[in-house]
Amino acid sequence: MEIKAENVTRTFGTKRAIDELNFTLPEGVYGLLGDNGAGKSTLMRILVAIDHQTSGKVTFNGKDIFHMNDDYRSLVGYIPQDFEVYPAFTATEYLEYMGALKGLSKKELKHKVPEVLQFVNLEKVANKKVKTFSGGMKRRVGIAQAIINDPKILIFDEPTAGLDPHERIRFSNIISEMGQDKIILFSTHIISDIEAITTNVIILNQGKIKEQGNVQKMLSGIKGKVFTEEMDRERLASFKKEHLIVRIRQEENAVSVRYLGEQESGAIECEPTLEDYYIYLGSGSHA
Amino acid sequence: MRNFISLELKKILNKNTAIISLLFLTIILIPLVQTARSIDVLDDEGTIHSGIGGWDILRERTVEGTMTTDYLLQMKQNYENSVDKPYIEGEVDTDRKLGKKLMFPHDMLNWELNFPYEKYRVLDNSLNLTNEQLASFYEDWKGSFTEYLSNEQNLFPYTEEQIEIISQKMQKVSTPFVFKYDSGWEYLKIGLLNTIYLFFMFLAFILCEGFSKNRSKGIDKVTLSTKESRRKLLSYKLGAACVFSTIAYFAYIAIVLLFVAVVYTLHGWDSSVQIGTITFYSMNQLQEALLYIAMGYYSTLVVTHLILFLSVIFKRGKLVLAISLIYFYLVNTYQMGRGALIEKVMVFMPQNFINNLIAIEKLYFVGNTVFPYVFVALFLGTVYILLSRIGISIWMRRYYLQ
Repeated sequence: MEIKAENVTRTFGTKRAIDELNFTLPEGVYGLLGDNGAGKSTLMRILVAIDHQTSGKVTFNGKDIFHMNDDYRSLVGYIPQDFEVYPAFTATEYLEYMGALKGLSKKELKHKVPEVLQFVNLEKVANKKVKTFSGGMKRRVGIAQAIINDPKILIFDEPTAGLDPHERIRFSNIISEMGQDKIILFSTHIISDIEAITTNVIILNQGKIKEQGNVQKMLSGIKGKVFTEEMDRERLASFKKEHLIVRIRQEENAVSVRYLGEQESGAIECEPTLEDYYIYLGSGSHA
Repeated sequence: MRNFISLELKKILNKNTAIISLLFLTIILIPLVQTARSIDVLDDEGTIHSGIGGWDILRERTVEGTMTTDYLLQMKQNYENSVDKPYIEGEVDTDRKLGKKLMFPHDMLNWELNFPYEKYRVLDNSLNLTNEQLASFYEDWKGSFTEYLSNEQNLFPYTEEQIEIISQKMQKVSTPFVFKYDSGWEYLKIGLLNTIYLFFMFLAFILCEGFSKNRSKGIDKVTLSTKESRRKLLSYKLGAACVFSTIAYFAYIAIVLLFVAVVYTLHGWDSSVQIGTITFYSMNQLQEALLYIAMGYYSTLVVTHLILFLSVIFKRGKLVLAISLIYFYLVNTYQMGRGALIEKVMVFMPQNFINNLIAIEKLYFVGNTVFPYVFVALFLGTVYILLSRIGISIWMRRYYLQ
């Protein structure tokens, strides 16, 4: 099972939102990383067949998804970035409604709805109106609707945006649990979420793929280039000019600076993270 | 599927719907009240009473009965001795307030009796017929249509052969007619015609988001990504919109009927439809009113489909609303005007599907078979509904969201 994008381009007027994208996604969990406007949501809309590419082709197991039409949609579960639940619906009503639209029979819905509610830990509020739910609970309703048809492909567009830390952790765990026998693609601004969930990542920049592959492999490229150093605040200004800063943390009488580059005296080498790599990519140093 | 239609209905029904409904209710009462207040009526002593209370006097003063010769002669006598006569015949000059119409219990009866005699017809509701003319009223009435239709400026002028066919049908109208105070039924039709465009505007407010890009009422990304988003969703949405329109229409009719019952009363339901409408159908006022109500419902379903069709084409609820409001307003404005072109265009407008449904001035011929406008409206409405459904289905198949 695989999704393949071949030279996929989407333009809006003269703007190329995504530009000649090529990738293959076999079964597994994939993180999609990129700045605002990088083309993540556009790509995801194309992958769930609610938007169409201007040129190129997306195939599922070799078949064009736009020719597969509803057959393809029956394989997909999706949470958009701006996911909202109809406020007047209860969680059960919403899931029954979405289940029916996903082609489930009434008999199937009868056991599927409680099952997915339990999976996202919302069974106790099944008959409460969704408008009374917190943001995190609504997101979990979103996951429940996305998986109710047991989809082969799951597309989550910034699913953790606006969630509190507990909800984020819970969400990350849910995605990780579902990762077998499926293609899961999720986008986020929160790099640690990707690290917590997957080792496969696609990094988009201005509509183009800047990097894709295994996170460990990417990080090996910057091994020995990430350091932390404590320094007084006066030195920080000049240090920033000479180094690629990842993070600055305020300490009691000094600042702890995580940076990319050559080891300075007093600096301690660190294990690189995806965040370091993202900054490294953004700086153009890898080119 | 019914269950999911009820869920779609839940999307339509919210606080805004309730507010718009209340607003609409207030607005439709304005023209109804204005019409009801625009009369002056004389009581038996000749005192003029103005406004809504006048309808009670009109009803009390109307002498009802089956229009046999004896009754007509009696009515002529009543007219001669009535306080109305000097007013009707212009002997008393009354300084009418702007917009007020002086009405008499004899108005409709005299118009009906004068109909066969062209020189008395139109504007003059005096009754100057001889006893012989009254005695031969039905014979004269049935025989007057060849001349009437030849002179009448019809929408589509009839050929001599067609006039002959209509005249023959008029010969078969059941007589004698029953004359009663039936203002309630007359003003029910007028009230519907004057306010249905407001009702359609109300529907546009509620349904304009149907297939528009809208996360709470229309189409959102999640539903569009589902397998059945281009099939079942269409049925759910159309079903829910039709259920809503049905409930709203009958609530609207109930309000208009309640107003009519309170102000005019529903008295005279069994009076002949020929008192007021020239038609070859023998029916009473209630049957005609039910036909108008049914056609109002049909046009409501047509308009519901058209609004949803617009919403799937434009995908923007506010744009659909603006187009709908302008369209209903313009049709209503031009509906009131006269002119061959306007009338020809109006034939096709769903808003007009409750206008002149069975009148002989608006008949259509296929060979020698004659159809009143109600059949044309039914045919057009069916075409509109079918085209809308096909259109929605086609547009939904290529519905994408950016």
